[in-house]
Amino acid sequence: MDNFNFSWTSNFFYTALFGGLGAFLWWLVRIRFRSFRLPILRVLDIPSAELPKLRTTPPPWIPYLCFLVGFLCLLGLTLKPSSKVNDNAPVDGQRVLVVLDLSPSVSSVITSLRYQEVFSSFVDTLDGKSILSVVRTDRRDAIVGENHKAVKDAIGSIDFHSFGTKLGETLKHALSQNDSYTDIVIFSDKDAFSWSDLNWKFLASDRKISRVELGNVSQRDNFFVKDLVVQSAPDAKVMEWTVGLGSTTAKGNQSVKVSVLAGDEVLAEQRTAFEGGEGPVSLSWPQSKLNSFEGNSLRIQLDVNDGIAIDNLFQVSKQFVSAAALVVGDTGGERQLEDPSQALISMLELLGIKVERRDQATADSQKVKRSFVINWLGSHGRNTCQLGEPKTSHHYWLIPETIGAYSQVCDCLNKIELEAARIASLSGAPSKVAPSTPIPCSTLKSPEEWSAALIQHNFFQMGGQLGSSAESLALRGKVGGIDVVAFQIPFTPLAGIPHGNWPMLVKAFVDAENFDSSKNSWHRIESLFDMEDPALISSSNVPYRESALEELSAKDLPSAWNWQSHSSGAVIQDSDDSDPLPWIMSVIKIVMVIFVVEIGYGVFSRLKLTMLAIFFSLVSMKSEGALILSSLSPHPLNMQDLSKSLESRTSLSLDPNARIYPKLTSAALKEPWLFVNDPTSLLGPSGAFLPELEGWIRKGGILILQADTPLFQLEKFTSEGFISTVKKGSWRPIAPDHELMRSFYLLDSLPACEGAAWQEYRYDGRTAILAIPFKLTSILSNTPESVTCSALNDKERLTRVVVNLFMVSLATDYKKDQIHLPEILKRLR
Amino acid sequence: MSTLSDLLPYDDAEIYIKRAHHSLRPVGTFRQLLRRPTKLIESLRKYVVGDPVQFIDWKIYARSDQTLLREIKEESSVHVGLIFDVCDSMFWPTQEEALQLSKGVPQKMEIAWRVGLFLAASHLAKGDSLAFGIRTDTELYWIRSPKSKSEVLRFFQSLRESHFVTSLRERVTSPRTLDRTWILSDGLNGIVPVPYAAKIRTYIHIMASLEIDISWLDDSFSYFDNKVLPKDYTSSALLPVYSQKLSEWQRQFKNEVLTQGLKYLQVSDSTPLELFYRDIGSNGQL
Repeated sequence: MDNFNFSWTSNFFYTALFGGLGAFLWWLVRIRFRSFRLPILRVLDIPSAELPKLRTTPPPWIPYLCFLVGFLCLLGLTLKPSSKVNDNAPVDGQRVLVVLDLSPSVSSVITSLRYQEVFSSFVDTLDGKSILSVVRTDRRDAIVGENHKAVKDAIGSIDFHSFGTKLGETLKHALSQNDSYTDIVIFSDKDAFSWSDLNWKFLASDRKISRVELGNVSQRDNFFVKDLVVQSAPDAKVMEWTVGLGSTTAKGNQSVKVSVLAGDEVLAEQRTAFEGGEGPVSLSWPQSKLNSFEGNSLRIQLDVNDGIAIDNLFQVSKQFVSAAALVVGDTGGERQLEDPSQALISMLELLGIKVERRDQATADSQKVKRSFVINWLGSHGRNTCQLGEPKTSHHYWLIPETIGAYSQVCDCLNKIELEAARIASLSGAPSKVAPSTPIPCSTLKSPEEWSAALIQHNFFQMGGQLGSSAESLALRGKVGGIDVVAFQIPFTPLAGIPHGNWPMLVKAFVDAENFDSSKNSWHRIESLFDMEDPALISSSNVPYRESALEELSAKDLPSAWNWQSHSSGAVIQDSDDSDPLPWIMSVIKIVMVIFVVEIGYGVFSRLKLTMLAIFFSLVSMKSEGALILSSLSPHPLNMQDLSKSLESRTSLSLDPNARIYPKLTSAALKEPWLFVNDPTSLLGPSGAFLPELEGWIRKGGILILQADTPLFQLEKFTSEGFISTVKKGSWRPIAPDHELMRSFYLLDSLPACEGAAWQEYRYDGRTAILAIPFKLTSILSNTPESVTCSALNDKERLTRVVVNLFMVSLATDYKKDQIHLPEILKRLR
Repeated sequence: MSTLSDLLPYDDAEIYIKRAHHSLRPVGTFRQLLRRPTKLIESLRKYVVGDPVQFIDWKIYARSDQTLLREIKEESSVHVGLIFDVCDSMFWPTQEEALQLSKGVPQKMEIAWRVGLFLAASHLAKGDSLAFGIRTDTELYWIRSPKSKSEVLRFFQSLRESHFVTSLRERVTSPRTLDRTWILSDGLNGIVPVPYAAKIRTYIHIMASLEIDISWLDDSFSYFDNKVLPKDYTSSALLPVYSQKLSEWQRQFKNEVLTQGLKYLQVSDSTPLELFYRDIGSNGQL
């Protein structure tokens, strides 16, 4: 939606579109219900709330018109952000904040005179309609006025600053003063450094931000001092500097003259043919030249014609080369061996501070002009408070030797205060500092009390956890007007801080001192508003990234200010979230998807149901199966009559052709039952049943022996034939209440000849082997054997027995099976 | 089975009606057995030129050669008022609506005319005098009522030709008194007030069979009546509550009618004729 353009035409178009869509939907809904008059409804008290109201009746006109007006107002308000975007110019009474970026990089693209013209013409386009506030990146205060001419005059001449106040810092300050700006216009180039701390997209969520383009930063080459390395030791006779040059161009053979100046005196100079990119230039001069110099800073001057003129001057604090510290502390033995004072000295020297060390403070050591006096304090009597005459120009660091040595530090603090008061009284000058009560050092019992006492004396915490002064690294404050840092911890690993971290900590402490800030320091300032002394600003250098002229792309910057807003009605991009149309479009898309899915699903589900209906109507799968009689005999059996008779009596169907297995094979043992005429065919060579048969019976097979075999022989078969658990079954005659007698037909007796009885081998609660004393299958086959016994001529009876037999083999004793009992009981209840 | 939509002014219901005729019926403050209107001679006077000749008593002229005029005084046993409600709901369903439903059901107004003319014929047969009142939404006026059975038939014929829609007949003055009133209305506009203190008043509540049984409701329609409050219903909204609400209203309406001292009879186009004859003939209603 970045390029979503708005105009009244498109608004009308969308309104009409939605209106038309609404009417169409209404028509769709309406046409579904043709209405029919039913007068009886007027007397029936049927609640209408739950019913859809579909009929159109002429509305009550006055409320309807009120509604219409309200609706249109709502519509107008909803689309207001879009209309606001259309109207680019600030309307009457809007507050416009103008930010003038005067950073060095801007000077590479525009002259201050031209800058002034651009600003002037911008103020003219506002036509005096809005309240204008102007804030410059080099000033803290905004200039506010409804009289635009007065604002223009108050701005005065525009010149560029060298320090690095960024846009975000300026804007943050301006908005903290007054947050009611509706428009923010930023005059700036595309320099990345200036924009780096400004999250303008956040600000654009509730106000409009635009940018006046001042030019492209990459138009010109720029040369600058990137860094400076002091090669010589602080007390060396000859100073050797390596000046690192940087440039924004990689081409050419530019002649650059680099000179080091102390005031007007040239300390050293060198002309070099600079290849572009980065490169070092070495300079050296005798330090004696500096002795007569009283100024505060040295300057490195580049003599070259380039983009930013301001950054051709690089200022270096004299302190950088002449800062000195006195460390008073006796190790009591080998100096170099784990001497914290020595470690501290190394760290300070790394920072470019000349350090003198004394075991004891002597009279002459006090005369040297120094910035730091660092005194170690311990309980061994070696390191005592030795400060001489405390001076306000010095910084005093009091470091305990051990963690518990705070009472010595405390005593020393009191001593400094006494000395300061004495000196003040001697000089006769009125004391600026009100005398405070000395800290009661002897009563302090813990670091907590110590830090609390210091805080009472307006010391503030340095380092450590915020708000927990007892755990701080040090406490800093003034005693008798003298700046003192009272360390809480010694510079030893005993304090819990590893050696590696100490250099950084010492640097932080040194930085915090500011070296008597106003005179001796040089800075690359990034925040104008933290600085208390304006003199610092003039001594600051151009930030490196400012000189490097990095450029942002247009999409990372706010939209450009439209100079023709009054006449052309051209468009400035608005932020996404203040515009409702993307949301409306999203909603419409969602609704369309739902619509399609709904219809699609409806069609599909109907299709699916239809297909299922067709499938089930055409493919009617009857669940059916046929029984196959399987017999272990050499002769084929045709059971057609039995099959017919079985089908007519029961729901069972029997394959007329029995499966005949001449031998007991594994295929035969896949049948559920086996009719066997000769029991001996089941035996293996050892006289036992084949082990497969045993497994088959265990798994549920029913073996039907059709031979007149005496009981003892049967028992012999099973007791000798079976080996495993199947052996535990037992032979018994078929009882009159056996399931075979009642599973389908109720039989009073089983047919048999000459007193032979039907026997069953009961195993696992079922009939595993049934011994029939005659050949039942061959009698019932279409080609029956002749029988002598009259009982076996009754085919009806035999058929009934077979039906019962099938039922038993299929369902065992289903009447005993109580699986359906809960259902039956439920039905009975 | 014949229903009320087949009712004719003359019907084989005579037998029921005759039975009713023989029962005692109220006249004024007493009951009498009077079956024919009397046409007693009010007065005789000499013919004056310009008098209508049909009033000359020709028998007297034959006897005495005098032209005497006979002025007859008609008397009836009971003055009966039949008041038809012709509000818009009585003309439901209209022909278009019936076509929309593809159901050949008569309008409630047709049933009202059929029942009314049947009652008229019956009353005429007993020598009663009739007055036809038409009740619109705004007024009650009286139209010329049939004086004889043949006139009833002609009226019925003309109504049938115009599909029972028109009832345009010349207006007459209001009757002086009514001993008996029949009010034929669907009750959707409340009980029709009648400014006569008749001794017997019967409210014939006419309903359409489509109102009683709404199984014909089609979900592709919405159902409305904007007479009082514009409401729309779909059949799915109506079906679950309709029959209960209808019987509630019927009971309430009947109670209201009875409370006002009226007799109540509900009929519809699906009422069997037998039932109607029985109800109308019993209890001395006719």
